[in-house]
Amino acid sequence: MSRRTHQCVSASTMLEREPDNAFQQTQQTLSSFLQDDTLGIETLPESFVEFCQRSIKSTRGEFLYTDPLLTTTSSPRAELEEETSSLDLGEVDEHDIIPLTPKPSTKPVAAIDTSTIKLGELEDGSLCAIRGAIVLLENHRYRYIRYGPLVFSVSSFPTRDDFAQLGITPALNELNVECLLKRVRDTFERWLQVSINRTLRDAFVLLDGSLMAGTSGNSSRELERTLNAARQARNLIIAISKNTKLRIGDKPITNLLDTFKKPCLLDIDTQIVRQFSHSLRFLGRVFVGKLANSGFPFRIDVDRNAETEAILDGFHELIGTEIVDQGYPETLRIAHILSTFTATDVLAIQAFAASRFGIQLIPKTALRRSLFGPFGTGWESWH
Amino acid sequence: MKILRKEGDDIQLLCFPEENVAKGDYVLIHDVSSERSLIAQIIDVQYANIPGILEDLLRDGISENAVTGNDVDPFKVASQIEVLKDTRLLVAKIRGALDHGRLSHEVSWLPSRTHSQVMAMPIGFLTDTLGSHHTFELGSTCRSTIIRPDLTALDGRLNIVTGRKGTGKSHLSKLLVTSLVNEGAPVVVLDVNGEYVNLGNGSDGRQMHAFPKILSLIPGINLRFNLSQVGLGTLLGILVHALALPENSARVFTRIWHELEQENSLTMAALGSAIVNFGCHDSIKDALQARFNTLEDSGLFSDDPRVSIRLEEVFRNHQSGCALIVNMKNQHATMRRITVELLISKLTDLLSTQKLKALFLFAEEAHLYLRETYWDDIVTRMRHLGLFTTFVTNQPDTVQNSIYRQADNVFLFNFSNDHDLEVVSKVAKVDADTIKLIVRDLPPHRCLVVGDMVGNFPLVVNVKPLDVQTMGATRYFFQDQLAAT
Repeated sequence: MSRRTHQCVSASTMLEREPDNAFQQTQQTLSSFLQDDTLGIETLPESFVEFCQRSIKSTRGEFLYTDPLLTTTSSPRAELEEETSSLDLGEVDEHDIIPLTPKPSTKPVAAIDTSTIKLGELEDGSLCAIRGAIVLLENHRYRYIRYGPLVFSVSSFPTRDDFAQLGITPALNELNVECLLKRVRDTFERWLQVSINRTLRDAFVLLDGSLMAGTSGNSSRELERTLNAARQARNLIIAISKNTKLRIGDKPITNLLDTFKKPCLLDIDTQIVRQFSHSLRFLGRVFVGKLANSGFPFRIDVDRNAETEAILDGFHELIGTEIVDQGYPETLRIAHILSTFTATDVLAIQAFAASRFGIQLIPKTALRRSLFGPFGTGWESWH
Repeated sequence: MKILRKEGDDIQLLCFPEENVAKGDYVLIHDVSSERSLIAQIIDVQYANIPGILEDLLRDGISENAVTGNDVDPFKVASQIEVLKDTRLLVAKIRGALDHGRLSHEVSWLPSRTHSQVMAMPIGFLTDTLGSHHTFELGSTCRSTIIRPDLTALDGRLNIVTGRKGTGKSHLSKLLVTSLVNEGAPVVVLDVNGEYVNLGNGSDGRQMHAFPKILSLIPGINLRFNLSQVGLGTLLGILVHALALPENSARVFTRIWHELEQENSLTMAALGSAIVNFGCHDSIKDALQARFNTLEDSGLFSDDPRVSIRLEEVFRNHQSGCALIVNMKNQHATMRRITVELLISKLTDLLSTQKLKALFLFAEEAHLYLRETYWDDIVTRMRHLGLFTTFVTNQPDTVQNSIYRQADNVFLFNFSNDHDLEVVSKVAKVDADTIKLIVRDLPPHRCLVVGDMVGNFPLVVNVKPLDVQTMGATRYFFQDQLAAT
């Protein structure tokens, strides 16, 4: 994978407070990336970099308790499906299945993915890292822009002010490491999503996950902003979930297409919305889809405001334009691969934190192994 | 560098990209807390098995050339990742120790992982102790340190120079020969390809200061003996071993010899007519006649005392050292065997009668002329008499295993064939892993020196170029094209 690395950060303004300026600059950046063969100077919102620098500066000289068993555990994306998971859905009528036929198009396909990881525990919090990637398929050519790794710390007792710089105002029940890590990731991801939607026109924008949001808080506003940006640019946002907890009885909803080999869609939106609308906002229309012959079925969310005809045309064109090996779009696959943290990345970032910020690395002993040695029964005793 | 693991005399070290070390280099593992150090030699350089490296490489390779892009990396973390990917694992062998600055063989202790400093060791630390009486420039290390061992490390020793064709064995042998001669030593070279004969001439043809000390002897031309010099034992040895004379015929020959000796007429002419006239069975007579004709045809024997060589006089006349180059180029195998039988027998005689103090013998491709019984003889009896042999060969399996096990110095050039490596790894002075891992990667004119000459600290040495007419260089048909490239 050939790439160039840019360390310069533009003086863009804060993401939330002055969104237009920040996005304008990012848009220019992305425009040059998307249009020039030589690629332009890439920028990150300065607020993000400042947030990282400020948070990590406070950890200078601290001990970082690293987990020797940590391998490639990029934090999984938290989905908003936990509250209820079982659907009451009748048998699938073959007439409800919409067959998909590949239809070539020249529309660009962009995919976005991000990932976060906890690098270890500090005396008072955690050291974390985030990375994101945008992959673009245009003129039969794949290109990417990857941001990060950005290293930052999250206190065990955070205050709302800690995250004001990112425009995040966490609720009281969100003031813990896990929730805040998710909020940072969401913010970063939305920035990438809005940026690409302000740059591309008449394109497919593929996201990892769903188009659901909680009924309260900022998350639905941020997602709406992404969708609005896409609508203005006549882009079609398609979110694909690798894992869905929505089930019919004891089986995942993706099993609905088990008996269908060819590319097809099943619209389950009405049933889903009816059952979960009290706790969740469905900003996307929910389908179960199989995008390739004998491919894997996925839950697929598409912008609810898009017309049915446009959605179906979009799917025909997507599978006629993009490689959908095993039913999963290649751009999204590459974006995932590029943004994921490997164990090498983790070691490198820990070494970076040690050398740049004077953090002292201390391997965290596995308790069971320490107590019982080879007689530990936990899985960690095997490692 | 950091210590990763130690098992027996094997030690593994982690080495970061900016640290410049290579196979054959020495490292010092200094335990600060105990003020002791281990001396280890790197025998292999591998990639360190970093967790997640497979995923990382797959990520890079999976879409290589298919995906291009940019990284926005404000913290420059990518450079750390590159460092990790290029981190190397050094496999090293512990060769000795330093205890408060003194060399020691006490290596059974374990250096601290956390309190040890691992650093590249200047090779001069080891080579400075090699001696100073009869030093010569053998070559230099990859770090350009000149290696000047002492020639006394060849004295009384058994040596082997071996390596693939065209790697520089003969070149090193010539360097050893000229260095010995320059230090006043008597040397005999059994030269099967006639490539040592111009050692006295510079590469441009001019005569070097060693010129008068290089004596080329061609069997049958200026290397001839008379029968009384040779003696019955030597001649019987030639007849039986080189010319396959049956036992009965050998007995008859002994009788003939004794009769001629009593008559004081030990000449080739007298021997020829005695065989013709001796009363014995015709088959024995025919056998003796045939062997006699071979000896006569060889030209190695002469009744004229003016043309027969007197080796003791040659050495006496060259007290400041000389090399007798026995040029056996283009000679038949039988002729070679007769020549070598004669020569070794004569030299042994000179040594046993104290007419010669000691002698360095260089035997190129010895399997072509040395009979089976001589191998052990060279290692034991002749060595005690003062005949110190250096075997030079590109076919290591032609040298007996006992020679490898007893060799005091071994100069190993490149071998890539597993069978050859297996054979040479029988050298007792160093472990098989060192030989297999280092020798396989040696480029031409670089050799692994093992044994007394390097104080038993194996060294990889770029052999010093020689300004002599080496004659051993491969001759090419497409010489012009090769020169142009």
